[in-house]
Amino acid sequence: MTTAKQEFFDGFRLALPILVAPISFSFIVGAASVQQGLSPLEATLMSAGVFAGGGQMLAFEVWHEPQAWLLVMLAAISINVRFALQAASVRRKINHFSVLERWLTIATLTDPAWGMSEVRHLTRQVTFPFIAGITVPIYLIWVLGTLVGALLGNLIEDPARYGLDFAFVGIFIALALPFWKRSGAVPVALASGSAAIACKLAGFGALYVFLGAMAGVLVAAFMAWRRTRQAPSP
Amino acid sequence: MTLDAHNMLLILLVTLATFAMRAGGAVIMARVQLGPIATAAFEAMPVAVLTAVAAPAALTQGVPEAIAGAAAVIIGLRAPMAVVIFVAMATVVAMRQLLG
Repeated sequence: MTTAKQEFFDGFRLALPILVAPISFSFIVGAASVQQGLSPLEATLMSAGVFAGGGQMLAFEVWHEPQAWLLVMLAAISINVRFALQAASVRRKINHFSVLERWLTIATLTDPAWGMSEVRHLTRQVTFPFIAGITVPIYLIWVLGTLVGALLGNLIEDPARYGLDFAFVGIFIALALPFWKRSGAVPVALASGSAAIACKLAGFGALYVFLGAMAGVLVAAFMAWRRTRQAPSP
Repeated sequence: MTLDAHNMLLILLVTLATFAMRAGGAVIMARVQLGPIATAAFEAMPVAVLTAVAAPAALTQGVPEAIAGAAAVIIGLRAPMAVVIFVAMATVVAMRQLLG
């Protein structure tokens, strides 16, 4: 029998090595927040409520535009629309959760919590303590790191010097690798990767993630459609 | 420590928009019965979204980033996640020094 405690620490152990990313990213978000004119308290509240660094950083790009109220929502939606895809996928794997557990899971869904749940689901059922073991440390670090980053202000002047800006890419590569190894994933990855690159270079803004993912999903749907059309082998 | 009306309004809107994305995906999916093609499409979402984030980030920023991304993939075939992240960061710093 697997106890809730063991499940929590399974998640926590998986989250531990990637905590370097939310630590560095939350410092940078905190520093960027105060540069945009937010107080440290406002920066901390924003991280606690939004809990999505990409959307927060993108929103700052339009924070002082004339129609900022509309533009920040568009910025958040365009980069965070991936959460709709991720939440849809996770939701199908957590039917056995209580209603409260489901909403906590969905409301605090992050790229690592989603990615690790998907990998976990390849071998066993995902539990709420497992997801909590991933999300709780990330959330605490995210909120506290934003506060520290905001208070320290511009102390981290050049994150690129330490490669911190690239930790984000390393996480996504590490999360994607188990999927890339699966059969049928290569055409999907090639389609979504090349479409995302094309859309980014073509100036689609943060929507390139959504458009690229859609291309990959369409390829997967097309491959499934071809399978359903093939006559069963004699 | 101050709270500004303009800032708080925008913070609330970004929070709501982000929550709408998470909740929308979960709620809409909960009501949909899927056939084999839709099932394949949803099962492809993880790899499709991850690749759509990682590929442009690694391949459109420059040569050091592309080399670091490739190194992370090669190392990642065998090594755990922490090593992959470290290799990505260390390689990008080294390559920026060498090539920048």
